[in-house]
Amino acid sequence: MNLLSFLEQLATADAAAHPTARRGALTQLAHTAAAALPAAVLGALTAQPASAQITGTSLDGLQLALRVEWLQDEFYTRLPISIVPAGSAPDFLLMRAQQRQHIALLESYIRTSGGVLAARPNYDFTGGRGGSNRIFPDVFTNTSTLLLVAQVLEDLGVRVYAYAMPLLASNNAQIDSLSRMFAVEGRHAAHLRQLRRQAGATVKHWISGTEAAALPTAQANVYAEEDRVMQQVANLALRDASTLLPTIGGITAAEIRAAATEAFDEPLTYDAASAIIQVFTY
Amino acid sequence: MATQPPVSAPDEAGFSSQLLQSVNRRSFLRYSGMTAAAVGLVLAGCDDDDNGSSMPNSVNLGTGNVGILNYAYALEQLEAAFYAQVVSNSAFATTFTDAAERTALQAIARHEAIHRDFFKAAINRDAPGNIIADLTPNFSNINFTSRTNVLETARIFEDLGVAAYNGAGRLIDTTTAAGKTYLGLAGKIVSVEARHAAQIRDIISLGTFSNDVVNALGLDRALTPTEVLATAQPFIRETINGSNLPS
Repeated sequence: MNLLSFLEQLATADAAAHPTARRGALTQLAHTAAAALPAAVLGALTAQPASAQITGTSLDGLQLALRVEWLQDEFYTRLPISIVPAGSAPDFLLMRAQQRQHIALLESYIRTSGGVLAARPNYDFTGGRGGSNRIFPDVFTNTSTLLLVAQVLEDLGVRVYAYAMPLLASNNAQIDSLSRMFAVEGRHAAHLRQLRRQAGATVKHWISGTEAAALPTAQANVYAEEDRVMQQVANLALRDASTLLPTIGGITAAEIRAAATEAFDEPLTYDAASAIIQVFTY
Repeated sequence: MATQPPVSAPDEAGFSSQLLQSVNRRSFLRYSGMTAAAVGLVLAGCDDDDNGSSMPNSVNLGTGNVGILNYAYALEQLEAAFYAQVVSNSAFATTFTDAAERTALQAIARHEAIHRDFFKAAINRDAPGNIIADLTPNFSNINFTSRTNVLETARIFEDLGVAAYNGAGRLIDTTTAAGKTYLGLAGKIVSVEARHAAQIRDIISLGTFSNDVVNALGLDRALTPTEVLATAQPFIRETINGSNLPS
């Protein structure tokens, strides 16, 4: 499946779950992607979105984080522990336990914030949404696919906490806890990337650019806009992080640019994160 | 939380190009592996701003959000200086014989230098005149030709960085749009520091990515500036004064 048809599929899937909403936006995204691809291929990396506008309420941030934590918990619960890399079974059990601890905290914050806890959706980690059109048919039979999907879910977690953090501005207890859970997601993601490296994958411990070249289509979406180098200094100024290191000492401009994208994890928008969650839920 | 003005991005090329020059020049000094002492000498002549403290060897981080930014800037200076020294050591390749480990340390060195320079740019933009001086690292107790010692120090710095950002979030005044931006930024950096920490820990011993730093509630450590500075101070020649930071 190519990127465009994947985006179209997301548009359909998302519209099914939210009849009122987002088909238009995702279709638009697919069209935008079509326009952007040739430029990306040519390496013309100039015009990026200045800065993701984070919109929503603190409850939106908590709910979105909870949906991702549920997703991770279900994934770690369903995976056949017999196919994880030798010696890593305790790691997976530990990560699942930590996700469940996060779930407990998030659910309590949502309740005390007056939010409603939805029922967990149905899960299908093949990406087939209960049908036969699967993106990862061997997710629970092939170790490398399993590790890839696990990494994607943890990186999704990182990017969703990045979304949620600035929305919590008025609640110190929640800022404290979410920052600390955010960091744990980062540790998980790095560990899964380490396990993938040991299984022969070419991957760094941090998100570098959009990682599109190294990953199948669905992940390209998870890493959309991770190639951002413009960082917001304050509310009216942006800074190109890739200009912060000089081109010296055998460091190429491309390496500097890569480092600039790696040095910051980027938030997903609410809609983009929801669309990715819906690849694995129905 | 105050009402948030719309965030727009007008062109600030003038500001940018002006800022770029000084940032790049200092990056060059740092990144090219110049000794910390030499950098200190060079910078002493052009940056003598210590926010009112008259003690020559004391650095006052200041108050409010600028103080928090200076706090992060100080820690990123420390981390960046450490990794710059690791990767520029003449024995780097023989200390780290695994190319993947060298690549990782070089990447982390770049990330931390970018964080450092980013905070410098942010402070100079948002609070001109309030930035702390460049710090002089004290790595006299680190054996840069010992893989074990370098990795253990890296682990301490990375776990400390994570705990510092986790503890600083609540200290940011988010009643302004700038404050919310800083809170978001702290998040975007904390997970990268956590990735570094997990990787360094996995290099030391696979599977220790969260061992003693994530508690039974699934929470990474959060430390106050006072706690963080107590650990960081032995690695910095100037005395860091965080007593005016929000608490």
